[in-house]
Formats: sequence, C-alpha cells, structure tokens
Amino acid sequence: MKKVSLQIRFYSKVIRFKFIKALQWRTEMVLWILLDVFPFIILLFIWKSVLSVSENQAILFSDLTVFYFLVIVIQGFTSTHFEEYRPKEIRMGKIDFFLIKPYNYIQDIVLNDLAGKLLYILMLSPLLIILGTVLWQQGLIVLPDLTIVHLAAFILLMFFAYCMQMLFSLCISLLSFWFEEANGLLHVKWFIVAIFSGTLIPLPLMPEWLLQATNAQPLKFLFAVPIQLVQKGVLPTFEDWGLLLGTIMFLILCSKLLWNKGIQKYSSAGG
Amino acid sequence: MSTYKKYWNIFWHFRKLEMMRMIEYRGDFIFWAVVSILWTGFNFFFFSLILRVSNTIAGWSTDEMYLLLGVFTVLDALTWTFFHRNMHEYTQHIFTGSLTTLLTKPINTIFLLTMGTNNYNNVFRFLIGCVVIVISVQRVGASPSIIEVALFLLALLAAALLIYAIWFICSTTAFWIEKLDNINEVVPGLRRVMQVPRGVFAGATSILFTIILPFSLVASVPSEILLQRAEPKWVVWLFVSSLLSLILAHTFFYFALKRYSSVGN
Repeated sequence: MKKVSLQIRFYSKVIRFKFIKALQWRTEMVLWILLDVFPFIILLFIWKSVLSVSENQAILFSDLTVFYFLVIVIQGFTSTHFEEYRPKEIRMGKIDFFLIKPYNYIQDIVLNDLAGKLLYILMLSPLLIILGTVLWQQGLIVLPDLTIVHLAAFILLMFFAYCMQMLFSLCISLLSFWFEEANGLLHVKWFIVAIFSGTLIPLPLMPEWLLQATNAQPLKFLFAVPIQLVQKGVLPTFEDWGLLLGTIMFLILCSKLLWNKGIQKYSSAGG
Repeated sequence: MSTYKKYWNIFWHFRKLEMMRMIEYRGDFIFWAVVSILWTGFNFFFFSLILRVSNTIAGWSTDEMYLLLGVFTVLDALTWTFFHRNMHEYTQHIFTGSLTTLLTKPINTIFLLTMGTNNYNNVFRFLIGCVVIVISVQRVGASPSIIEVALFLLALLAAALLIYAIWFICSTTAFWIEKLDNINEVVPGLRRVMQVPRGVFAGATSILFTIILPFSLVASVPSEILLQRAEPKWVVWLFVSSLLSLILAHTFFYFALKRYSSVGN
C-alpha cells in the first residue's frame, strides 16, 4: 500500500513538472485550439448552405451542429500528437537519457502527454463553454433526455478513446526503431481514423458501405459511438464494451512487444 | 534585365539541387507522394459525401464543385511544393538566429528565404488537379476562349501569390512571438475556406473571407472564369488584394528585420 502511495506521489510530481514545462508553450496551444476548432465551424457553413436547398430530411441542421460540437469536444479530450516528434528522438538516438532514469521512456511519453492534455483541456474548456452557450441560445443544441448512466458511459468512452489514441500513437512512434519514416504513418492513422471513426459526417448521412465499415470495427469508439450516445441516447452493448476492451488489450500487447523488441535493436553513440 | 536573368538562373539551380536530393531519397519521395495522393483522394471523397445529400453547394452543381476542387488541388500542390518547407525554415532561421547568414548573402533575402527549397512530393497532386479541371470543364459544357484561359492562369498565379504573401506575413510575426512553432500552420489551417464557393459565407464571414482575408476567392474566382460567369469586381479584387498583400509582406519583413538580433553563426 505504501509502495502504491509512493508511486502515485512520484507520478503526480512528474506530471506537475511536465505541466509547468507545457505552460511555456501556452501561446502555441491557444493557436492549436483555434486551428482545431476552425475547420468544424467552416463545415457548419457548408452544411447550412447544403441543407438550405436539400430535400433530404435525414438530418436537421441542429443535429449537424451537435455532431460537430461533439467532434470538437471528443477530439479535444482524446487526441494525441506525440507521434509527430517522438520517432525522431528514437531515430536520432536521443532516448539513452531515459534508459537510466527510474521510469522508462514509455512512462515519460504517457506522463508528458497527460500533462499536455491537462493543459489543453483547461484552455479548451472556456472556448467550449462559450461556443456551447451561444449555440444553445440559438436553439442549435438539442439533446435527448440523458441520465447519469449516459453521462458515466460517455466519460468512460472518452477515457478509453484516449487510451486507444495514445496506444495507436505509441505503436507508430515505436515503429521508428525499424523504419526511417515512421512518423509518416501518422498520416495513415489520420486518414483511417478520419474515414472509419465516424468523424467525417454523421452516421445517418453515410453511404451504406461506409456505415457498415464504421460499425464493423473498433475505431467507431473514437467518435461514432460516443456521439450516438449523446445525440440519440444509445448506450453501448456488452459486446461493444468487450470489443473496446479487447482492442485496448491488443494495442497494449503490441506496444509492449514493439518496445521490448525495439529496445534490443536500439543503439546510439551517447546521449 | 541581367538581374532578372540571375534570379531566374538561381531559381532553377535551386530546383535542380532539390531534384538531386529527391533522387537520392527515392523511397522518401515515393512514400510522401503516396500520402499526398491519399489526402487528395480523401478531399474529393469528403465532398462527394456532402454532395450526396444535395447536388449543390451554394448554387454550384456537382461538376462545378469538382472544378473548384480541382483548382484548389492545383493551388494546394503549389502551396505545399514551394511554401510549406520554406516558411518553416524561415521561422527556424529567426528562432535560431541563423538568419544572419542569409542577410549577408549577395542576393535578395526574401527570395532566398522563400525559394531556397521545395519538394516534389506533390507533383501527382498537381497533375490530379489539372486532370480534374479539364474533365470538369468538359462535363459542365463550358468552352472558355484563349483569353479566358489566360485570365484563369493569371488568376491562379494571383491566388498563389496571395496565399504566399499572407503566409509570409504570418511567419514574419515570429520576430516578435517566440515559442510559436505552429505559426506556419495558420494558413494551412484556413484551407477549408479556400475549397468552398464564396457564396457559402454570409454576413460578417463573407466580408472577412472575401474582402479582408480573401481566401474564399482563391479557388472560386479562377473557377468562375473557366465557367464564364466571373464577376469583374471579384476578379479585380483578387488581383488587387494579392498585389497589396505582396507589398505589405515585403514592407512588414523589412520593418520586422529591425527587431532582429543574433550573436552570429
């Protein structure tokens, strides 16, 4: 028990230190937030123009507004980006430093990302509150009756979605033990997630083949399932939870395997 | 005249060097070219999903929209080919103080900063854009004259220069703002504005994206020229705004340079 308590204190101290370090990049983070939110605002303009002449009654503009608002929320809380620069660290032989620390490189990646995410959420939240309030007042945010169970399921889904995103990023980063351009796989990740996670357009507007492809694989837990939960009140089934946990377990195993094999292959000429 | 010839020769010399580099890293080129093609396809796929709901966006039919996307793709390819890496290196020069080296060269610094490198990964994106433009023009049934095609090419050039100038102005703010590595992502972050018809925007956003920051004109106006329905005022404004932006970018750079200091390299 004492060991666990010591570990918690240690990790919280590391996160606090990383948080302070992340603070020096706060201006950059504000810009990232605006750049993340802006494309979805433009998409709303496009959809408004489309729906103003469309006879398609499958979806209302308010549904689309809620959809893109939720995409911004979920993306803000769950996305990870460390695979953009971590592969370079590995390729350049700059991880020796972590090999002699009392916590390993993987833990450093995770704790660093957690601290950055904490700051990002703190800075994103006021914008979300303002945006949400404005949309609410204009009658563009309409939600079904949601219970505490829905809220708990949504938070849990967000947590697992973050784990999934982080493990994907980790696997991509660790592949750089073998591949020169591992960070290029980041584009493959973005590409696949954009198409099959349900972030592109709402499920009712998807063509049949894309709808089936989205529902058949675990990437749906990143966006489609949490959005359906809030917009339609649809709770994930036991099979869904099983698939989600199974995917996370599989990704943990993959990242462990990649780390164990990769570190044996790793060599550098001093840090 | 000899000055222009000198710069023309240097420009092609840089391209030759980059070509040699590309040939050296062939695998890298192929990988990123595939990524570029994937994103181009993705963009068309995304708009095809929207156009399934309604066959028109702001009064532009499906084929007209593909023409607009083709024009945007060509512009986007040019942007990534010439601007992205150069602008990134420009801000790095400011942050690290290595701009000093460039300032002492017997050549225009802005030219050196913005034309020094390029990449060829987007050559296929450029070709896809060209093919889509040709096919879309045929499908729409437009038959632009030689003069209209020439005006289209000029408008495309003006659009590219407008993007370049605004990007350069954004990057120049690095003289004041430290710890802002993503300043170069601002213009790419606004690309969604460029790939939709200007009619999508209304009210304040219309004023913002057609007059103050006329990104909604960069693909719309050249496309309208090919469709033979361009409004003269917007064509003129595209040319004028790109000229004004270039002057502003040039002036702003030399103003910002007064703030620059380094301890030599």
